[in-house]
Amino acid sequence: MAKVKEYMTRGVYTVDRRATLKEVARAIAKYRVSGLAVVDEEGEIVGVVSDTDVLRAITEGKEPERTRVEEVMTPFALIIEEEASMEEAARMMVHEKVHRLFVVREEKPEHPSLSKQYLLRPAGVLTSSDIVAYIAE
Amino acid sequence: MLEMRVVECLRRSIITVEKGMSIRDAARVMKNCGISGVLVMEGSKPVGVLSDTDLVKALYRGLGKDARVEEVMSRKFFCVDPSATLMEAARIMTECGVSRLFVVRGARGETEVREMPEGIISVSDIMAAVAGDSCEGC
Repeated sequence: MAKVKEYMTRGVYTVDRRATLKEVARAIAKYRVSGLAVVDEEGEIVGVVSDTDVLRAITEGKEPERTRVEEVMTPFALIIEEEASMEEAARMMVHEKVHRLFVVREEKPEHPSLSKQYLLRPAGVLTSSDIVAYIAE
Repeated sequence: MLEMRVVECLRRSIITVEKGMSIRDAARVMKNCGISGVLVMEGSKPVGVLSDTDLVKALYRGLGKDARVEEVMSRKFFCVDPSATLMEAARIMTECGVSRLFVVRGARGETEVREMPEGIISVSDIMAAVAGDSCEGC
């Protein structure tokens, strides 16, 4: 059975929690990704922001040049172990209605929401595009 | 920034797959083109949409890679009129929970797939506009 570690993207693109939505949009466009990890002053991950979070904030009237990412981010992320199967990753994406999972090496906690200790050093990210790549083989 | 019209930013090249194709082959098209959704055709007639989310659900449901596209595609798509602003497109995407809209004259939101769209506008086009980059429409 194919494992998450075979299809994940290693490393995580990050943005500072004080960055504006405009800066987030710029990073998303530059790196051609659909979401970024949000980090604090010490570089620790404190949440996740996606392109749809930015979209929603703007349609709610928030100004992209004045709104900080920490105001619109999701303050947790979903994690999966790198030894998990791609089927398990698909199950988690469907159940949790997300397109992105952070991949960790350690055993995950009972609840899939990412606690701070697990956020410190994710090994990478698995997205729905990686599931497409798996099915393409 | 988002007052620009959809018609100025839409991508006119629409990638299509045949409804009888296997999801493995459709996934190859999506992977090779670097896109998250394709229009599904029956001959020259559009009949549905296949997205990366549909493929995630197919894997979750235990369907094999030889399953046909028509078994997992959606028969409706989400649309925006070419004269709408990017802000209006952003609102439709947020309301409908999608990251891509097909551009069809006179259509808004969920629509039965009947005619060939003029193009596609995606959340990445809107991110580029918010970032201050010019549209890459083609």
